[in-house]
Amino acid sequence: MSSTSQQRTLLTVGLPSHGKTTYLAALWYRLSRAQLQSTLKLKRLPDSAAYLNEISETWIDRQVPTHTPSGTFFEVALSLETADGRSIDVIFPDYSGEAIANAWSIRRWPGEFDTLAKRASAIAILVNPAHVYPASTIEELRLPATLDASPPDATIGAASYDPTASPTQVQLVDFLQTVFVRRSRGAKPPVVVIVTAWDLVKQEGVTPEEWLKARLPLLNQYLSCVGPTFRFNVFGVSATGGRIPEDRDELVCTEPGSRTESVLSTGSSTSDITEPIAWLIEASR
Amino acid sequence: MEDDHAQISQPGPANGTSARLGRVAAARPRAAVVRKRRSVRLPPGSYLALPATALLTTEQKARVVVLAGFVASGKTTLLCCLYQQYQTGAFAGTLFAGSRCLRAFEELSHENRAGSGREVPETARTPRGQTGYLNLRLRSDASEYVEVLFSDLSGEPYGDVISTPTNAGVLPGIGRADTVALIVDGSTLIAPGERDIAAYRVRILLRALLEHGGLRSDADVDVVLTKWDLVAKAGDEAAQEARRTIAELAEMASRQHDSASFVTCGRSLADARVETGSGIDLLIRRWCRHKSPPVFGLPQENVIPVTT
Repeated sequence: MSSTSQQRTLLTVGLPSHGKTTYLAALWYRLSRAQLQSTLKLKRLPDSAAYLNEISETWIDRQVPTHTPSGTFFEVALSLETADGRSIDVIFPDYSGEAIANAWSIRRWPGEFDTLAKRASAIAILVNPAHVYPASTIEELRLPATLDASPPDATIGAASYDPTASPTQVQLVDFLQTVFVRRSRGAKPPVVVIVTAWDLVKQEGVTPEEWLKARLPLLNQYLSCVGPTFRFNVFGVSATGGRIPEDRDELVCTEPGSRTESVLSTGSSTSDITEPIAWLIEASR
Repeated sequence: MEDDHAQISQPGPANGTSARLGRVAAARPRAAVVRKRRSVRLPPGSYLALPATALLTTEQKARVVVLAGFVASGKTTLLCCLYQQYQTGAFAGTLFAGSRCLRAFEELSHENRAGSGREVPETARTPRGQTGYLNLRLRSDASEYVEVLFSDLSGEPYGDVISTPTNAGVLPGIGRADTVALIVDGSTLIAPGERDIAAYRVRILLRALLEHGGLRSDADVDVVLTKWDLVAKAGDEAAQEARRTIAELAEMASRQHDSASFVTCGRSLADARVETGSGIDLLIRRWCRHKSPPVFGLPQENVIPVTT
């Protein structure tokens, strides 16, 4: 790698099955095809690309790349060039989502992850709308008309508290707070929220910013309040172009690079899914 | 395996990780790392103990709100309701800016959540002997931050104060409180025969707090009526009587302290005319308001001290 290159470690996180590996696979495909327009360019192939090839080939074949096994993580170091010609070496740790889930439920995370959390230049949080666990109350789910008409059964007791079933937004806020605590009092790294499977949300006619505010309001408030110098952004990303396996046959006619979509916080759209990473690199300068 | 999934983590010291990261950056584009190093214990997210709150009160100018009320008077339900408001967006002119007690709030909220399996929401009893605090960090419309520490003591010690008023002086946090919120259980003020006894008991509690609590002279003493849905359902006479009772209590407190009375409903089950959360927005606006000395710290980043 070039001696003049800057280095960034992007902590890419998400709860299990929220699309981290799929996004990395699609990102790699985009970067590896020089013909496709993208804000970030791959300067050269890494020395070893076996893992990237493995997940990308699965992705090209319109399948979901294998879930990162619990207790392991993959680190990918890529030499990139930004739109203004700067060289950046970016390290993407692809960590099992259980690390985040365990941070919430058993209040521990692996030593390696702790090191990454302390050193990360920027944080990307991936959220799949289909897997968001809401903070609904019993009252909210009950129709007002039934309040008096059919009294609910008060004798039904509660199941034991299961931390893994806690609202997604609470777990993510707790995660960010914990990262910031572990980093002591230094500047907070920029955060990008990547709403994956955006093709499922598109029909709602909202921007990623609006989606975050509506579906993860606690996280949105928290990010808005971290501090005056802190920066965050929201992107919608469709890394597969449809539902897998339901839409698999339809996707066979679409060139893999055209399946992807990146939607900026304001709603404008591009097929370039390097945009969120480009923003993070810029924000962490 | 070595080519594609090289195990490059080393057990033990942190310099192993430094070497690993250096090597990855320099030459290894990809590696599978099997966890070998010990896991790191994270802040528990539970109730805050006094040492942690001391840090917050000095560094972040935290406001201490002591909820003083008998067993099952609605103290914890009120806190859970407040926490739940931020799950859906800004509330009472404030944004949620963090909490060191998210796990505790979630556990307390469990029986109110759809996923609990219950059909009727409930709040778990605060265990006797629990003396910790719950905190919320909020940001006002004016971009000012306020750290609020809520004392969620179980109700038994307040019952003891009725018998031994001098015990009010040893209630945890009472002498540090910026606000003492006297929690009055609305359900006890409904039936004509019972409400006189209930009003008597809560008057004695207030008097004990005022005479023996060692309250700061600048502390607010607010009177908070809970379970307004039950009172409203009982009819106008009960509602008027309940309002008269809390007004009398607030008047009593106002002789020595700034005082106000509030009617709240942390969970509306009995009367559809009463909304869940009603009145709680006014409480938050009051508890977060500017006072002299200023209760808001300078705008600062969301620093939460470590406790591992």
